[in-house]
Amino acid sequence: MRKIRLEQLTPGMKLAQDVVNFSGQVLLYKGNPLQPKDIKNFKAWGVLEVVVESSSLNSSNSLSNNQIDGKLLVEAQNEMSNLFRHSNLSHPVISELMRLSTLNKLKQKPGMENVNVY
Amino acid sequence: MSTSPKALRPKDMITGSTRTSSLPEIFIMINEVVNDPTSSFSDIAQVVNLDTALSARLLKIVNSSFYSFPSNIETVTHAIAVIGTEQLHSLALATTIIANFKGIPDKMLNMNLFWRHSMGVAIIARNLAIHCRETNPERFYLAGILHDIGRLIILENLPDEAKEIITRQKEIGGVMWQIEREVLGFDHGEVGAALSHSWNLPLSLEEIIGNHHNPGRSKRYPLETTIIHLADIIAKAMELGSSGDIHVPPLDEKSWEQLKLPTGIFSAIWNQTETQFNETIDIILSG
Repeated sequence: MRKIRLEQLTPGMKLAQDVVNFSGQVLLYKGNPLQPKDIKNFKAWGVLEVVVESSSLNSSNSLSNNQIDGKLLVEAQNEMSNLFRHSNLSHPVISELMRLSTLNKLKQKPGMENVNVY
Repeated sequence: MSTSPKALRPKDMITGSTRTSSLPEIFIMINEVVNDPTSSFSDIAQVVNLDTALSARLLKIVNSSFYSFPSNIETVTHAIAVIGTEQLHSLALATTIIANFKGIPDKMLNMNLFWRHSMGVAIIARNLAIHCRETNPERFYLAGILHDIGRLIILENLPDEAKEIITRQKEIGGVMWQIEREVLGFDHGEVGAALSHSWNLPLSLEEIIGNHHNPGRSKRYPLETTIIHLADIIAKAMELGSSGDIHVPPLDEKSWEQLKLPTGIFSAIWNQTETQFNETIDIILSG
């Protein structure tokens, strides 16, 4: 089971938990494989994250995507660790902001402009 | 300054400086006409039009993606009718404040970067407020513009101490507002709150500015203060401008929990802010 952001969803992934809207109405029950129209529907309802079965995740979605230059990534990570040196890195807010800012930094590096952010 | 900084209080700096002792005149005039219940939109527009730079900037902003209205807005009257007097108020204050603080020497703190940071916080705070379904998100914009204003006042009135604070952070490290307390006995938040008080701005602003590094201490406006606190952290993570502080300030974890927001919204806020920031920054900072 893994919680992932809407941008990372791809058709065929299997839901591990019901997806509900802000008033608790179920948009799609768990166990269902996602179809393109479901993802559109989630977006329309303002859903930000869903929980999917780990087995349905494909590894190319992770940060260490093979199109990313490993050396530049480490460079970006180091720059961000300095920026966040007074922060509690294990807090979910900080780790999410660090993830976003590292990718932002990486995109500013030569050849990395079109790197897939998600 | 010949007085010992330890004995100095934040409000002494406000009354001692012509720049901060009173609000810009155009702002007072807008304030009066907006608060007068008999004013019509065209009465308000007439006052705004007195300041040509302000009215031109206002029209550029309402026509940018920040508001994304479907049709072109060509007159100030129309602009007020669509964005509302509250928004006009914030925008007018933001532009007049930036103009008012022109001429502070750039040596220690790059003013362009400083305002870019403040504008970044303003836009992020407004977006966070919309996500929290807060009423009137525009007031967060104003709080964002003003949150670090105390830093400029310290810089102008106590240049030696300001220099020491900056050097100390560079050489020894540490959280900037804590170094300010060690050196001055107070931090830039308290100075900003004193300014807000002497300008008769709403009490909420005073409390938000004063506690934006310690939102847990805000008694009456904890949610508002936390939104600015978080927006400050996000703006630093996005590296929008620079407030003079070279690190992301620590997050108040307890206050964050009160917002009840999922961390998943940050990527959405990030994208929204990038677009709005790039569209409005040059308009506000030019001229």
